[in-house]
Amino acid sequence: MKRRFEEILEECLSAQLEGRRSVEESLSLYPSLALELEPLLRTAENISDAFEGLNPPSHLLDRGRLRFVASATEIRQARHIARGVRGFNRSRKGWRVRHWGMLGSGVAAAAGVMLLGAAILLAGANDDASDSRVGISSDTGSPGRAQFAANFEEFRSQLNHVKLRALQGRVGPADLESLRDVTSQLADSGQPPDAESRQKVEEALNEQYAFVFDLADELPEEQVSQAQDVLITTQKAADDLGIANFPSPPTPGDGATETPKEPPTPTDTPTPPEETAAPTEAPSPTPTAPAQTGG
Amino acid sequence: MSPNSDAHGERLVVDAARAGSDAALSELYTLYFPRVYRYILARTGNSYDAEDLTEEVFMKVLEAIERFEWREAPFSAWLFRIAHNAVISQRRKDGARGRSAPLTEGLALDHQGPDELVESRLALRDIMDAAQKLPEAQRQVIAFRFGAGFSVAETARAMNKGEGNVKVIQHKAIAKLREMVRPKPNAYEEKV
Repeated sequence: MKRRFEEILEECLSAQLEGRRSVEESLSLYPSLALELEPLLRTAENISDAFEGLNPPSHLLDRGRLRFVASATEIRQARHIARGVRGFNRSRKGWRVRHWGMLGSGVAAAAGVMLLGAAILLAGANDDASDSRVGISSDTGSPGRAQFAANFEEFRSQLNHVKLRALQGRVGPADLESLRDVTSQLADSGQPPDAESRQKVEEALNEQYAFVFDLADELPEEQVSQAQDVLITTQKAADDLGIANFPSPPTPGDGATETPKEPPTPTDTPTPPEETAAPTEAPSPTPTAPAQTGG
Repeated sequence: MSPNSDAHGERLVVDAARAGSDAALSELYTLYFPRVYRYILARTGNSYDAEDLTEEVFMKVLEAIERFEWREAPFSAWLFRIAHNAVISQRRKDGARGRSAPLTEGLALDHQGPDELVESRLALRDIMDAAQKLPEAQRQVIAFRFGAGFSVAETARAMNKGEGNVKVIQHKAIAKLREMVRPKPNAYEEKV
């Protein structure tokens, strides 16, 4: 019986929520249950009315929609880049799998020879052991292209996230810290696997540099040093990854007169160049350009 | 009311959004943002959290929509699962802080004059305050049914419960809300 009542309540409630039946009509359909049904249906009516009048603020909806679509474009671009890098890696992995057996025996045979050679080299080398390991790691592609692609994707994703936060005027210390960390991580990923990837990394690092440079102007005093850290880390990442064209020079004819080579100091109020100067020239997907003016 | 009233149309829009159509993404946003917002508001009882979390949910949708697959659950179930997880995650972050902002501040209530607005805000505040005191399952049912506009079947699927069970929870939730929101007689009336 109890179950039956709940079925009836739901039937009346659905009809009411869908505008097919009023409370009175439902009560007339079930007169024997009217006493029990009425207060529940009236309460449901109040809840429904309260929720129906409740909408997100229109500015949130409108600006949010623009940001949503802009972010979609950025994410697609980041994925496109990452897939390019990963595709290269996938074919290489396939090659490795097919030739694993041959490689295994070859490597085993070579290992003995290499150990002997390494011992001789180490005995006579002036460079310390860590430098030697870095050289080998870089030459052989280790820690691997997949790792590089993943780190790059994470870097792009975090950059997009902070750009979105900037649009909302909500960049916080944790955002900048994460951006610095993913940039460091990218710098430690080894060299970009091919020219195309290197180009993408160059664009992304320049984009980040320009973005953070401008962002620093809008940050509260206590976060400026964090922005400076990010800029320094970005510069270092460009150096580590062998990016020559960094920061990218201004495009001729835009009125820019100089390229920011030094990040803003935390003690001074950051004074990036004129609004038309170099940082805005870094490749940046069009929809996010307003990020630098806040939102 | 049900989001599945035009399931075929929804599927076309979702597929186009997955393929990268900005127009389709914009349509999904317009269609679902208010519902996700109301759902989160019903769960958190805080308009500021609802704004932030709803935006966060849609960013997660962007990141994950390529991986969305049409299986048994419709798109809305997938979307509201993300919203549910966002609420849980926010709750964990807030932890024992017990932070809350005035619910009715910043709320936009449509098409109402000043008197109606005040009345609606009072009613809404009462209902939201009461909803926060409901047990979790009851609060979820209210959020899905009235906030997200889900049917009982959709609510059951989203909560991983049987429809009969959801109807029972719904009954209890409405009865409890009625008890809590019902105007209390004042002391004089009680004596009389």
